[in-house]
Amino acid sequence: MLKKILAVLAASLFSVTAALAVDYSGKTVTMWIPFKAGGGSDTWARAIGPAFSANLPGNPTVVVKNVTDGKAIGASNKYFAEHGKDKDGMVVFGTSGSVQMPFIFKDERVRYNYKNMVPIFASGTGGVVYVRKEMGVTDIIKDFDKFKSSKLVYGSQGKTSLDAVPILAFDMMGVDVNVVYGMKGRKAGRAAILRGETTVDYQTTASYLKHVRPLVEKGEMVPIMTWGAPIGGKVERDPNFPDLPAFPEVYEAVTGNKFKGTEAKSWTALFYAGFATQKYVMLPKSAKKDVVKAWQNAAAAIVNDPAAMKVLNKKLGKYDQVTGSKALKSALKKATSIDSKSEKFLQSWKDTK
Amino acid sequence: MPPFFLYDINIMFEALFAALATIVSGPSLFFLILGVLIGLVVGVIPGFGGTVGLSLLLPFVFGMEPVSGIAMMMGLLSVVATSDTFPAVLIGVPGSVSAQATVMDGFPLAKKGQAARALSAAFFSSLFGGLFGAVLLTMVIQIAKPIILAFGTGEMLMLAIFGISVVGTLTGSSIFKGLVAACLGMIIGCIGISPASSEYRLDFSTILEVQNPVVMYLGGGIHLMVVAISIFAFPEIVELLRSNKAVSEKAELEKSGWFKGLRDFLSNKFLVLRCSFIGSLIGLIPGIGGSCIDWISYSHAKTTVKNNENFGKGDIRGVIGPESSSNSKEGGALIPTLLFGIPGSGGTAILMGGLILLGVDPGITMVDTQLDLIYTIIWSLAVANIFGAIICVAMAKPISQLTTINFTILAPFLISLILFAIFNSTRSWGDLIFATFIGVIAVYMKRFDYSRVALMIGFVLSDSIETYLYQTMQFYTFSELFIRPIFLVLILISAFSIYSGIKIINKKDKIANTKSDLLNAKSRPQWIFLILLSVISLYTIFVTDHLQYLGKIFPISVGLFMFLFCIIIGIQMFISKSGSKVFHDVENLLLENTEIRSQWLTIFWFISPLFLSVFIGFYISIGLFVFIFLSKIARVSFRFSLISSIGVWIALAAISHFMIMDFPPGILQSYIELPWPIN
Repeated sequence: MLKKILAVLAASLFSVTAALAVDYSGKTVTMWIPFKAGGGSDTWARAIGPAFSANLPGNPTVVVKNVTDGKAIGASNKYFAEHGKDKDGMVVFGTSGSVQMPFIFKDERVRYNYKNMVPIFASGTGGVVYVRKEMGVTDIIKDFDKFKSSKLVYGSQGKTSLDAVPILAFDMMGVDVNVVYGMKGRKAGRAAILRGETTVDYQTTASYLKHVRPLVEKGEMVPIMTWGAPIGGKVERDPNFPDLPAFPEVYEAVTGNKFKGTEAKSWTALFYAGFATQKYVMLPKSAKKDVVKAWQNAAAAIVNDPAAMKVLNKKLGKYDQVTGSKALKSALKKATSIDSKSEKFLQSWKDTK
Repeated sequence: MPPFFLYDINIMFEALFAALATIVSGPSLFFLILGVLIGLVVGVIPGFGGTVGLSLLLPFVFGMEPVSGIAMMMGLLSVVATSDTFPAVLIGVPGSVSAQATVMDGFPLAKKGQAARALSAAFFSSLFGGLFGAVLLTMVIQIAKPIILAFGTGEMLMLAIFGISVVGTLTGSSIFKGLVAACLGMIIGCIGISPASSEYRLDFSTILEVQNPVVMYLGGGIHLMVVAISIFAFPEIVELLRSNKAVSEKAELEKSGWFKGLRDFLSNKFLVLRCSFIGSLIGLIPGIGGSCIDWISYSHAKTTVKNNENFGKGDIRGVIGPESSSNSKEGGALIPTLLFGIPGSGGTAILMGGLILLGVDPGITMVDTQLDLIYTIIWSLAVANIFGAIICVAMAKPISQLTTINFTILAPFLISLILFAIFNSTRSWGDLIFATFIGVIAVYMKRFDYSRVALMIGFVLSDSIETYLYQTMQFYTFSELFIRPIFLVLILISAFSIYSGIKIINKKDKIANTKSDLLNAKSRPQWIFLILLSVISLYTIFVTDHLQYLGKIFPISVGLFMFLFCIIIGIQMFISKSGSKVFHDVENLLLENTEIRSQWLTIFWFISPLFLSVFIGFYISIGLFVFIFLSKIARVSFRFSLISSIGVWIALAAISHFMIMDFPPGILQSYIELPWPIN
């Protein structure tokens, strides 16, 4: 009798665990992307989608859903309104620097909170600053006086976008850059420097490699610095461009100050949000533990799969893809939180000029 | 570097024909035709353009063999601007952005029973335009760099101003009413984030809480297709419903429509050539965008042909002009896309995303290293255009029969289609609500002769003018600007365009004076409408005043001008006698006709599915609406109504499934969890 009971108990226990084990077979998992189809985040999502499909239990179909209702902020709010309490991980959220920036700048429209999200996978990128050849600057540290006295014009999308990183950097170096707003994305900025209307510009690594490096080889443009890459908790030289100094290094050389204090802290916060770990796959905090685990395991498997990584590296430049609960949590914290002093500084800086 | 044609013409031809061979042999031809077929369908459905169509293809493109993937995407992109003519001509609703101007004369031709003629003339022009774009792309891809770079922000500003200057040639008999409409369009264009200062404008955040759904929606700006569909389709459908007739005023369609279209095309070959050139040239310059090209070429057609009195009432040349340019712009827009990786249109922007997924990186090195792929793209463009045009011409005649059916029977399907198309713009409730608002305003604009085209042009160019005006002022000093040759040439062209606009309006004056006094009679609603417009202009000035200088200068200036024009019209109306051209009320002509339905009743029909959706959700309400409308208002058999509504449900479910889209839920859905698709 006891045996029988035990057997039933064991069987029921087994069936409970079987029901709990995450299995997506035959299901369709959605990646909610708050951006248009064809853009950078969409391309990224469509690149990692199949990789997740191959590595999640049950190999679900992974589809990308572009939600553009109310632009990035509105579409992100909508995700949390509709899926913020989901448990099953059937709809995951993909963010980018453009979702992090308004959060950091405390745009009053933002209704999402990164504290309510669990990161699964993060991709970083870098950025390269370059100038037109005519400026005659080849080494920003040695030629800094020349750089400073040149006519500096930068085409920007707005101060509370990713462009906060370059504009604050110029301010910190004490160079007087004429910032012209109203550029529709970094592509428009690149078009303007090609036409010679602006003289200094930056592009993210992928776009730099594809579109600017050929011009550098032809001798039309000159790269002068990168934003750097997060190495050992500090912003160091970008391994993709070991010959170019990173901004903190340039700052220390040209101003003579240490890269410390409120300004430097604020810039670093913006850099983390906009570049270091720019794009995240996330689940709502309400997701069940084994759902989170299944996704995190899949993410780890992708990073260990050389074929998938080759595709990703090609699209985003060779940067760390962050996985693993601990690393992700500290990365996300850096990308989305900011100490009160820096926050105060950024708020007043935003309203100047 | 010597000009390319001197040193590598042989290599070029070799690559060119090798690319043709890859396209027409093997699996790529299959994918090309598949792309063409999808593109035709996407173009026919209002609200779905090349941008939406291509983004649907992207997931399938990933992992395909590059040549096949390119063939499929190009097949789709090349024919959207061809098939979007069907709804434009048949029901007066542009199938996508590039068919806006086709409505102007295409729809009146359909009313005359000449739908097949208009369609086939449009398809031949479109085919020619597409091929022209492909040839141009082949010839200039290697030398286009300096041309594109010569267009700085100053030149782009002048191009946008040139776009606005064509308003004069397209507006009704009162220039000030046209200007008021253009200002209103610019104000609608100002809604959302300001380009220079990144502030939210005109989103009611001064009255409502920032997280109110209305404020959130308006913060993203109003989508182009929402405005285009509501401004053109809404009043037309209301009018057709009121008269309770078929679109075509004749029961029988004219014979030999197909052949006649070809003849029209051939006898206007120079117009086609000129408009194709305009389309490619403007497409070539990234930044202005494709949405004003058709208006520019429509205006060009109107000003350069003889006997243009019938433009807007069904002149075939008003169809041929914009159709030639709307398709030739894709070839032009591909040049900056492939050369710099900077897309020249919405469609090419997505195409670029697709190319990157295929492992093809458009950019400056592509011309040197992957010329064969560029030729693959060009050939796909050309071959797809030929396939697309053949299919469309073959369908023109049978589909035109739709225009002989009583409109009340077609209406519920069209209304569902339009509501769906509008909703698809950004897939939010706000699309439907604001489309209704703008649609109702458009009904009155039509009634009182405020040019809807002017509103559209103002809307389309609002952002460009503001952005480039500000940037030009930053980049150039006055004297630097006036030594730029292209800038000066564009000023001349704009001046000429304004001059011909004035000439056309003067001519219209003579015609207007001979019209009946009844049409131009004084009436109270005209005053009410004018006061409403003045209130909008004052509201704009009032609520943007607290913004930063860069954010408010443009909307306030536009608001002031609009108010000024309203005052001028008011003074004209005050001092003029009944019968003067400043008065215009189509309603006066209809008063004696007792068979006509009331205006508000038909507007109510139009928006009734929306009210229903608030309670039971969009999906259920649309099918129900079709059923009720057919059985109660159109009075067709119960069986037919039932089958029709089930058909609509199935079609919507299929779209929802393939496009991964959800329909707006109602109160019912928030209480009860329902299965797909009614959730």
